[in-house]
Amino acid sequence: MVEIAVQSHIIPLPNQLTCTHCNSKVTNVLHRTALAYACMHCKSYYVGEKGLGYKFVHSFNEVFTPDLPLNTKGVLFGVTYEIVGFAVRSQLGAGYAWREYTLFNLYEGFATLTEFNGHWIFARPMQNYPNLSPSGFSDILQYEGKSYQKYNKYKSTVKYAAGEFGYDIFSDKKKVFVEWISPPYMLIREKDDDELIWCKGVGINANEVKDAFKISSLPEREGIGALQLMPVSANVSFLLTSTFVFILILLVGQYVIKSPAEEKKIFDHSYSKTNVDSSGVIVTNNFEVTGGKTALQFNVYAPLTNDWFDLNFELINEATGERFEGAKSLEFYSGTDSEGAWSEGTRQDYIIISSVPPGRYHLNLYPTWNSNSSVYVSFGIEIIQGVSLWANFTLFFLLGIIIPVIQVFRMYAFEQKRWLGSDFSPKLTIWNL
Amino acid sequence: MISKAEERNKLMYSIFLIVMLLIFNYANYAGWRVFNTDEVEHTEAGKSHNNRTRFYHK
Repeated sequence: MVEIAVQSHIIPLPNQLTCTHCNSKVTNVLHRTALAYACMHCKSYYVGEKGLGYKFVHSFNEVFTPDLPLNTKGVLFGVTYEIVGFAVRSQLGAGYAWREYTLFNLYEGFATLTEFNGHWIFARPMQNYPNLSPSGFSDILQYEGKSYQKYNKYKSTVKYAAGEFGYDIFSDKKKVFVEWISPPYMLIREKDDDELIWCKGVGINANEVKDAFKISSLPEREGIGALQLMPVSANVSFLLTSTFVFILILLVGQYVIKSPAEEKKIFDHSYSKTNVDSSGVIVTNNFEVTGGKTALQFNVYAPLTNDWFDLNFELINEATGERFEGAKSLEFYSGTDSEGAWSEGTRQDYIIISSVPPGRYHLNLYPTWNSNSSVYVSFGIEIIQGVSLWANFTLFFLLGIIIPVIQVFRMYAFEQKRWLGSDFSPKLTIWNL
Repeated sequence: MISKAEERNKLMYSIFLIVMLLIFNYANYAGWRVFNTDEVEHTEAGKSHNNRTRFYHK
C-alpha cells in the first residue's frame, strides 16, 4: 500500500500521453507531475526522463480491470479527487494482491485508495512523522494520542498498472513497508536507501466509495479488514468502568433504598389437621401490614418424617378484597443404606409475595397431607414484612453484566479474525481489546 | 462519523444502565420482586370472582 509524494522532475509534456506501441491516448491530468504512465490497452509502461520525454520500460503480463474507472471524479473527505492511476500490487513472497487507485487534486496533491478483499483504505502523506525507536521497528507507536500496533511488514511488486503516476511505480520494489494500526487508522512507513515517507490511512466503507464515485457495485467484503470497526462497538474500558459503577450503585441501592415498611415479623402460628374445617380450609387470625408497599416472606415449616406436605394459601386484604395466592410443597425423607445415613428434601422453606399494600389481612390456608399422616401432624407459618429482595439484586446484576460480557466476547472474536492476516498478532487479552 | 457511532453506543448503554437502576431502586422501594415465580396469582379487588367458591372469606 503506497502513498506517493509529488515529484518535482521537469519533463516536457503534451496534454495527452500517447502509447508508442498501440497509439492509444492517456489523458494527462497530472501534467508536469506525471513521471510515469501505463497504457490500459496494450499493457505498456513508460517512465519520464528529464528532457527526453517518456521511455517504454515494461510490459505487464496480465490485465486487471479497475472497479473504479480511470478519470472518474469523486468527493472524499470534502476534496474532489480524480482517479488518475490504477495499480495491482502483491506482497513479495505472498500470493495475495490488492488494488491501488491513485487520486489527484490540483490543490491537495495525491492520495491513495486501496482495496483488498472489499476493504477500503484512504491514505495521504503525513506532514509530521511519528517518533520511532532507533531501530525503527517498534511494535507499538504512539501518535496523536493513539496507540498503533504493528500489523504488517513487507516488500511489494507491481502486477499491473494503468493511467498516470507521480513516480515510477517500480521504484518501490526496494522499499520496505511497515504498517501500524489503530482501527480505523493506519500509519504506513515506506523506506529505502534514498527515501522515507510516512502516510496515514483511514478505513472507509465501500458505500462511501460508491457514493463518492457514483459506482453501482464494488467487490463484496470478505473477512475482517485490518481497519474495520466492529459493528455496535463500544470502548472496553468504558464498558467495564460503567458496569463497575452500575454494580456499585446497585449495592448501595440494595442497602439504602428500602420499602417504608419496617422489617419485622407480623404473623407466626402453628396449625394441625384438627384446625382444618369441613371445606378443607384454615382461616387465620388477621394481622397488619404496616408502613408502605412491601414484600412479605412466608416461612413454612412442617416436622416431616418420610412424608410430604403441600400448602396453598390466599392472602386477603380485608378492606379491599385484593388477594394474593401462593403455594409451597415440603417433603423430607431420610434413612440408612449400605453407604450410611441419607436424607433428601427439607422441612422448611419460604416464598415471597411482593408489592403487598399496607392494610389488615388474613390468610386462607389449604393444607394437604399424606392420607396416612396422623391427625396431630402440624405445620407452622410465619410472615415477615419489609424483607430485602436479593433476587432483584441478582437479576439486575446479571442484566448489567450481560452486555459487557457479550461485547467482550464479540470483540475478542472480532480482533482474532482481524489479526489472522498479520504476522505481528499481539497476545489478545481483555485489557488490550 | 465513526466516533459518533461509538458515542451513540455509549449513550445508549448509559441510558440502559440508568433505566435499570431506576427500575431496581423503585422495585426495592415498592417491595416489588421483579421476577417472582413464588406468587401463584394476584387478583385485584372485584376483578375476578372465578374462584370465589374455592375460597372461604371472612
